[in-house]
Amino acid sequence: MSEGQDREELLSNFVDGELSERQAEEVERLAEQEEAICQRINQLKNLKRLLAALPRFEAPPDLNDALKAQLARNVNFDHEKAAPVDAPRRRHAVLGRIGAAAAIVVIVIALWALIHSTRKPFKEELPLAGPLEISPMVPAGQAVSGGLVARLELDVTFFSTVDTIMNRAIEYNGLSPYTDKKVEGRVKVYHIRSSRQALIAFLEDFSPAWSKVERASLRLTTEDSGNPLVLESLSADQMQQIFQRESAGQSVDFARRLVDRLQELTREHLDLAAARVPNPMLTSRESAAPPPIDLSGASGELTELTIVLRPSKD
Amino acid sequence: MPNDLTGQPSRDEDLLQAWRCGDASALERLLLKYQNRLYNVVARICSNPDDAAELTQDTFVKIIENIDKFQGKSSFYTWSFRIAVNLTLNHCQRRAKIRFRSFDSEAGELGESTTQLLREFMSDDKSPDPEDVAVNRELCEVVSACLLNLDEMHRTVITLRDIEGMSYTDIAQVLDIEIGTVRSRLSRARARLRRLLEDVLE
Repeated sequence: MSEGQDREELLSNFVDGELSERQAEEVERLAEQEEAICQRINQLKNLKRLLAALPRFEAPPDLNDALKAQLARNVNFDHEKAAPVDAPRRRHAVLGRIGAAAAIVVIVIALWALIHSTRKPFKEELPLAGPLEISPMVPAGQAVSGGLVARLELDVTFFSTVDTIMNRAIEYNGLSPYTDKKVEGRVKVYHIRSSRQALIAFLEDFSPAWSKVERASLRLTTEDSGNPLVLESLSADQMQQIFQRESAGQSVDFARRLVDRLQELTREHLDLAAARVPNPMLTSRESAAPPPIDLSGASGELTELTIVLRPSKD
Repeated sequence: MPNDLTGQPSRDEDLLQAWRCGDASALERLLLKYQNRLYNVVARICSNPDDAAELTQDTFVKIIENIDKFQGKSSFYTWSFRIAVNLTLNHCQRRAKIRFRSFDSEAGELGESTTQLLREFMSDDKSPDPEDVAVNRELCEVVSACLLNLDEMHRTVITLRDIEGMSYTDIAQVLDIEIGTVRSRLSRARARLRRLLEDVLE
C-alpha cells in the first residue's frame, strides 16, 4: 500500500471516529500543521453528509402482507420428493403429436365402429378403454373421468402479459385443441382437459406468469373425494408439485398435507391464523361445489383444469 | 426490560426472548422494527425497488426459517443484515442487473442549482446544509447513480457505513471480513465515489 493510500485510509477512519484516541490526536495535530490534510478531512466529512442526507427508501406498505403470503408459498415438503415427471418437457411436444395421431386413429376406429354398429352391439366393437390409454389428451368438449378436477383462480397484475404466457404455454404443449376459452367481461376462463403429464409441462411453462399473480386460489376435487379442497396463496412450485403426484387421490392428499403443514408452520412462527392475508388457508368443507363437471366416460388418468384469469382490482 | 410506548419489550434480545417464551407476535415486531432499514440497504445495493421488496421478503423468510438456530453469538441486527446483504449480493451477481453507466454525458444536463450544491458538498471549506440535498431530487439521483457505478463490494460497504450508519465491527460481521479490510475497502470506496462525483462536475 502506498503512503498516499495509507494516509487516505487513516483520514477516512478518522472522520468515522474509528481511530484509537492516540491515533485521532495524531491526525488532529497533523491537520493543524498541514492545510491539505485539513481540507481532505473536510471533503470526507462533506461526502459523508451528502450520503447521509440521501432520502431513505421505505419498504412498500404491503411488504408485511407479502411476507405472509410468501411464507405460505414457501411451505414445501422437502423430505418428500415430488414424483418425477415421466418425460421431459421437450418430449411432450412429440407426445402431443403422437397423441394427435392416436386421436385420429381413435376417430377412424370410432367411425368404423359406428358404421358397423347396426350389425353388432356397440360395446363389443368399440375399444373405448384402449385408445384412451394411448392418447394423452381428450379433445375439448369431451368428458373426462378418473382424474383430478381442479379450478385455479388467479388475480393478476399485467393481465395481458399473463394471458400471453398462458396462450404460449397452451400452444407450446400442444394443448390448443384440448382447451376451451371463454371471455366473461374482464375475466378469461380456460378449460383444459388433458393428461397429467401434458398439464405438468404446461404449468412449468406457465410458471413465469406467477410473479404477476396477486392471489391464487386452487380448488381440488376428484370423482371420489366429494368435498372440495381449497388452497389459497399457493405458489407455482406448489401447484406443480400437486400435479406431479402419481394419481388424483395422491394429489389431493398432498394438497391436504400442504395445508396442514402450513397451519403448523404458522402456529410455530407468525400468528398467521389471526392475520388477514393468507386466511383462510383451510381445507374447505363448505357445501359450495365447483361448477358441475360431467365426469362420465371411460376411466383414465386424465385431468381437468379450469383456470380463471382476473385482472387485480388496482 | 426496556419497553416501548405500548409497554411491549423493544430491545432485540427481549423480543427474541418473548418469542421463545411463546409470544408469536414478538418476532413480527422484531421484523417490523428493521423492515425499513433492511429495505433501504437492499434497495441501495440492488438499485431496483421491486427486487428490493422481494429480497427483503426473502430475508425475512430466511430469518424465520433459521431463527431457531440463531444463538446470539452476533447481534440480531448484524445477523439479519448479513442475511439481507448476502441475498442481495448473490442476486446482483446472478442477475447482473446492475448496469454500469457513464454519467459524463449527463453532467451537462444538471441544473445550475444542483451543480452548485454538489460543488459545495465536494468542496473542503463550506458546510453545505444536508437538508438541501433531501429536497434536491436531481442531486439525489446523481449521487445514487454514482453509487451504482461503484462495484458491488464498494457500494455495499459505503451503504452500510454512510447510509445505514453501521460501525466497522458490525460491517465486518455482516460481510464476514476482517475489520482491517473494512477500513481499507471503505477508504477506497469513498475515493472512488468522490472521483465519480467530480467527473459529473467536469
